[in-house]
Amino acid sequence: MRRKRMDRIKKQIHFWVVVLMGAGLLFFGTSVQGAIVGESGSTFQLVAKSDVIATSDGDSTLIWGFAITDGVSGTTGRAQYPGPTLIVTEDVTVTITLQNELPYKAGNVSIVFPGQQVTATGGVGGLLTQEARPPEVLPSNAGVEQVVYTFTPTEPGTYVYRSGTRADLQTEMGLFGALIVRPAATPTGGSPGKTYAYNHIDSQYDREYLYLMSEMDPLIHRQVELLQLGDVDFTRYFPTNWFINGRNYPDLLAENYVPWLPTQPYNCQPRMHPGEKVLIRFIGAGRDVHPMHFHGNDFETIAVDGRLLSSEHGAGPDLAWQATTIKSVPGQTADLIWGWTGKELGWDIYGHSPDDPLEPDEYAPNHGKPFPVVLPPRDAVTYGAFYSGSPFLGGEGELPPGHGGLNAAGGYFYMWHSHTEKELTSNDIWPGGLISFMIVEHPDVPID
Amino acid sequence: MFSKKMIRFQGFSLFLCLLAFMVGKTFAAEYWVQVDTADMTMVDGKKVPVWGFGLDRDKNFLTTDDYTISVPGPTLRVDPGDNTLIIHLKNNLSEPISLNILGQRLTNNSGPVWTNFPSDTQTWSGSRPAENYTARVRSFTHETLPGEVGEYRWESFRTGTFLLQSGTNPAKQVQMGMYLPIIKDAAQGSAYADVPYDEELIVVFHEVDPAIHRAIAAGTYGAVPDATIGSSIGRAPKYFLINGMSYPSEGLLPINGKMILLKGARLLIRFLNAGLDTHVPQLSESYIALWAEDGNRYLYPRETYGFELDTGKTVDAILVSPEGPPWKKHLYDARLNLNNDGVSPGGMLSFIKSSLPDHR
Repeated sequence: MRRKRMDRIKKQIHFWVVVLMGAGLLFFGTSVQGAIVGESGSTFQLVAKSDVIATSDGDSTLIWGFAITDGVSGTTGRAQYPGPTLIVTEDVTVTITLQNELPYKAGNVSIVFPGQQVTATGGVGGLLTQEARPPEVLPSNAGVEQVVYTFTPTEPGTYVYRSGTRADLQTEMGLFGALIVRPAATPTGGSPGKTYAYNHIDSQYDREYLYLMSEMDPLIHRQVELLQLGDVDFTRYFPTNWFINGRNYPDLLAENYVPWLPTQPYNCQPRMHPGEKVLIRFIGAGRDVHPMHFHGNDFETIAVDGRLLSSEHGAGPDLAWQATTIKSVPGQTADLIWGWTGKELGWDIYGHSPDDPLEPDEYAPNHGKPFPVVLPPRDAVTYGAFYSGSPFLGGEGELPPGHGGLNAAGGYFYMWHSHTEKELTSNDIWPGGLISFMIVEHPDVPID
Repeated sequence: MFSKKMIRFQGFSLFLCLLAFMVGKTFAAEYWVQVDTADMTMVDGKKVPVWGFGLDRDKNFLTTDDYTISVPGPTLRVDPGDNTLIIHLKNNLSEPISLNILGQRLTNNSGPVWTNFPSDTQTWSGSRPAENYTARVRSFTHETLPGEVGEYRWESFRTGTFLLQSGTNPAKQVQMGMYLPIIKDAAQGSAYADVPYDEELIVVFHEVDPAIHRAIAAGTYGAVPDATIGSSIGRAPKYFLINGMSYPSEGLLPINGKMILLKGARLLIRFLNAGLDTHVPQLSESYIALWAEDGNRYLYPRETYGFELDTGKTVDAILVSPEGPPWKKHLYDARLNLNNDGVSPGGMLSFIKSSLPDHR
């Protein structure tokens, strides 16, 4: 009887995949993503501005963020949290122009790029680098002050940029972002059709996702909103909102650039097919550590701070280490490679019979192995929202009314979350904060 | 030019060396250390009571006032050839103290010391007193009582960078300031095997919660009658210090004094966290190579511009001077503890400088 049910499910899979593919595009939680979105190029014009973000506790919070100026029309968009993900190329000189349109009381603004050799010109000298002053302090005929940061990234990898002026407050307010340096060429021995994070074939990946971690103490944002900047005291810092790529759960499941989150353009919705390699670009942009736990398999940490973990130059990530939990360290970046085949399950995730052909990248030793559990009757248990009704990948099954329904393509959901469990809230409301899900999809479910 | 006094001192040292040879003993590093109360002036001018270490200059505890208490305490060194460290400890506080070096085995340790908490009227040394399930450990190592002199010997001292702390009621005495760096090189100019260096910089991160310091100094902290602060559970530091200073203290600008680092020169930076919070030392303009952790040399160095430095941890890093002087690289806490009692900028912000030589 179990076998019969499996066959029925298998037959349904392809039909459902086609139907749900279209539905999935509209669906909350199944956005399309394979490469990290952001601003690609070598010349960027950033403007520091005030704006407001939405948090999943239903609040709206004042931020200071970097807005990007469109290179063609010259119009500047809204500030965003986090700042634009800047995607550049190794050995190509990067020029970033910064203007200050923050409220006068916010003072000057600047950017530091840890790990880069930066030449800064214009503006005034500050504690860490050149700073752009607000227009109010400039002579009336001075025009807009611009600071120009120039650097040539000599090594590919994942980096971060943060404010270098009153960095505690300006980072808290949102003046930070990711910097991704792509290799200039395919590494030795690599194939041109594949993607690599570093100049070594062992940094190959099929999909990449950004995990840029930050936190907020909303009381400080209230003080800034009321222009009581003198009252801001970071010795009383007590964050209650936590973000991945500038959104908290469940907002981070929605697609990139959704219109209802105009100042939070980036989502966090990793998806993959079994057998693929997923690169997680992991960045600590705030001031606290967050132990992120990647359910489903061990990852390999291949690089830290934009440098492969190598025993010697050119050796590749031979000192990579495996774990399931890694802390985001403030100001630090790490590159993790994660994969999933279902190998450890010990049964066939597709519900094949031994004579069936293999799926692409299927873990062959499990082929045709039966599902080891007799499923309880439909109405005997309560199902989670992400259960498709079938234990098989891409499968669909009957669910009682009111159960499930958030898993359009019958994928496997693995929770990728902070193990500091109080961070799974948004201002004390659960679930929120640092919760995300990797969805392993059936090979027939298109992701890109 | 040497003064007469120095010549006499050198002669005396030579005599001691010869004496040591004659009795056939290995050399030992020996220090006379005073523990006392002091007032530490924060960068905003406010004074905070501290307990700290100071070197007794005449090495006999006979004269008073020949020591200066500092937080962190003075850096102690054990020469590469020495296996033994001896510290004579004079306790000028009104409660027992002891010493503990994280990662080193104290040879003459008869501790831990147990007490009948909370009255502290009776003590036991070594194992838990028989059939007594309420006694608590007060000290990790044998105690030096108020007014007394104790001796602490480490007879197989390991190479590396270490943190010496109070071993008595550490939650209280360590945060009051009882810590210092203690260092043993593998060889002259070499921190570990194949980790040579030309210049050295010691960077101790620590924090101060003045309210707790004041309560401790007033005797109203902890399990005492009329306590104003019962424990450190609500500790909220107001000062974020590097080597006892915070921005804009002159001693942090630069933090390495006048140092001429030519192109390729190797600056060894010994990072220690003597505080109770995690810090993230970051050089935003430079990579460094991490070579050792808690006195253990890595098999391979790790190239990074910052790293997590947890409480009680030491990390040794090499910064290779990228060019001749002058240059300047900022060193700060990437956790952004950049204020002094809530006033910004301040806190753990400094820079390392390579200075041009003086014109003569």
